[in-house]
Amino acid sequence: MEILWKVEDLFKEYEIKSEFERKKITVLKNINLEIYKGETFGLVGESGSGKTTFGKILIRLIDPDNGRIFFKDLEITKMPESQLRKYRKKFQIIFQDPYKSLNPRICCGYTVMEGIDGNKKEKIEKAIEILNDVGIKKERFYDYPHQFSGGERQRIAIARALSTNPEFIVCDEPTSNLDVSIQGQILNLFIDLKEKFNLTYLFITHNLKIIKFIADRVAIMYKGEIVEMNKTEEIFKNPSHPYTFKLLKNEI
Amino acid sequence: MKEILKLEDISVGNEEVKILRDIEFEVKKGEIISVVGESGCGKSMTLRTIIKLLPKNLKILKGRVYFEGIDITDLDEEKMKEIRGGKISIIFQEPSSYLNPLFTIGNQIEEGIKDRIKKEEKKERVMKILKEVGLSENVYYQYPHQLSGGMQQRAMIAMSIINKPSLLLADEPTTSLDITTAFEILNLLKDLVISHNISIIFVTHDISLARFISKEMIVMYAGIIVEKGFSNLIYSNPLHPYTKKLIDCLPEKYNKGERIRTIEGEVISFKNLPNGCPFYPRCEEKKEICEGFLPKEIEIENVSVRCFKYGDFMES
Repeated sequence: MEILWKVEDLFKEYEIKSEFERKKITVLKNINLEIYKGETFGLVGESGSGKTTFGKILIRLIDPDNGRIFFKDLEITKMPESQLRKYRKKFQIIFQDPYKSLNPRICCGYTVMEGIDGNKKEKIEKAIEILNDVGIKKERFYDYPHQFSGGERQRIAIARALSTNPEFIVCDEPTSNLDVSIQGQILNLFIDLKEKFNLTYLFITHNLKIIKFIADRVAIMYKGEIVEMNKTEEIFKNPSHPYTFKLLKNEI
Repeated sequence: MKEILKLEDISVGNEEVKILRDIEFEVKKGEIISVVGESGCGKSMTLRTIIKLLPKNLKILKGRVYFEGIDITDLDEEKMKEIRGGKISIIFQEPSSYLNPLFTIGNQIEEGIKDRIKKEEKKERVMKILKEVGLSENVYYQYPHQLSGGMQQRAMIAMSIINKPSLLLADEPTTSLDITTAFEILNLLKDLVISHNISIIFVTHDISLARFISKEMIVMYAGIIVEKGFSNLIYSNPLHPYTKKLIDCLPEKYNKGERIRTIEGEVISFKNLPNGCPFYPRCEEKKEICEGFLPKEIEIENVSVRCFKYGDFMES
């Protein structure tokens, strides 16, 4: 299988400064993993375990302190932003809270148009097409974020991510703010889009039921380290790390 | 078992819209009951009706609320204030937005004590309660931002049980927490029921969570109760088409590669409720009769359900 992402010895720490103390917190350490093209790679961990930080470092929204990141054999760890821009289109991110991630003053069509190349007519046509793919009707092109429900907003966020023809999308808990019934619709959409556009996902969540349903391989993260990584069925069948064991036991 | 709260035929709304219709259930002493439904189905409104914190433009149109055998429907605001935070208390979804960032946790819990006791006694009581909810005594001197989400929720729970309430209303208390923490909070609530003899109304949108925490559940849709009964029975054998659909949405029911069968259409808005069953537009098993009439509650093997599938009992 073709390797899309390769991460070697990733390390990240934050410094906390206050009037009284100054200390360093290690957020990620010893992260080594590969993500193959066309798979859904699940990343599970409790809040504060560093999963979101990892997602952001991978697509260089945050710089790592140490380690190397390869995107298709190309090292992007220290690549200057001017060069990286060419590749930025290839990887996108969808955030957890669709109420905060959309600009309230830009209508949904224009939100999607921003990522598309071409003249205005082409842009609008393409934006309508993408919105249609995610299930937003043409008539709602000029509606603003507040006119949409939570599920619809997440669809727009997905459309925006798709607008640059990406190969890879980081999905950072995209359904945890949604109702169970809407969650099902969005998960279906992710699977449909993956088949249609030949995408690769990094799916970050704390919900094991979703991981079991959607992911091909899973990494379990605990306090900044990956404690276990395997095929989804294997992990659910024979967990080897005590933390994974605890997670599975707590399943409701 | 004695019942602690009883809602009798409650309708809430105003001249234009009706938010809740014919809500009727009771909560027994020392028991957890769950209310399940999508956003906007009236679950939180039911809680607000009980403690009478309805928005200004809504009022109770008919029906009675009995708490510990006393009719509290028309109680005046002064007396209601005594009950709120005293005999009935409530916890919410996002603990961080209900804690004051400028005061210590100890300070905030102490503030809620309604008994007139000495300051030292108050502190003693807070320390004891902190221990009961699984927090260290240190937390007394800490500020909300120093605590994690789970600890904040524990502090909220401590605050809500400080006056030894007999009924706790929990409005999606675990939604913003991750699984491990949520699990701990749920277990804490279960323990409280036994140690403090509290009854809990647990509101959630996750039907599997409801089955985990409570023996009985209520499924709501567009302001009416569509199904009510024992959680295990409903979960394993749902009667109402909506409950069926709700369970069908859960990802754990599917294998990888399958598509989730979701509920088609949108949640109906309260402004244009149909005359008949509110689930009619999205229902797959609808009949002609469903459009024009609202079905009555029917009891089938300890589960009561409102659907014409089980006989043509109409609302007069």
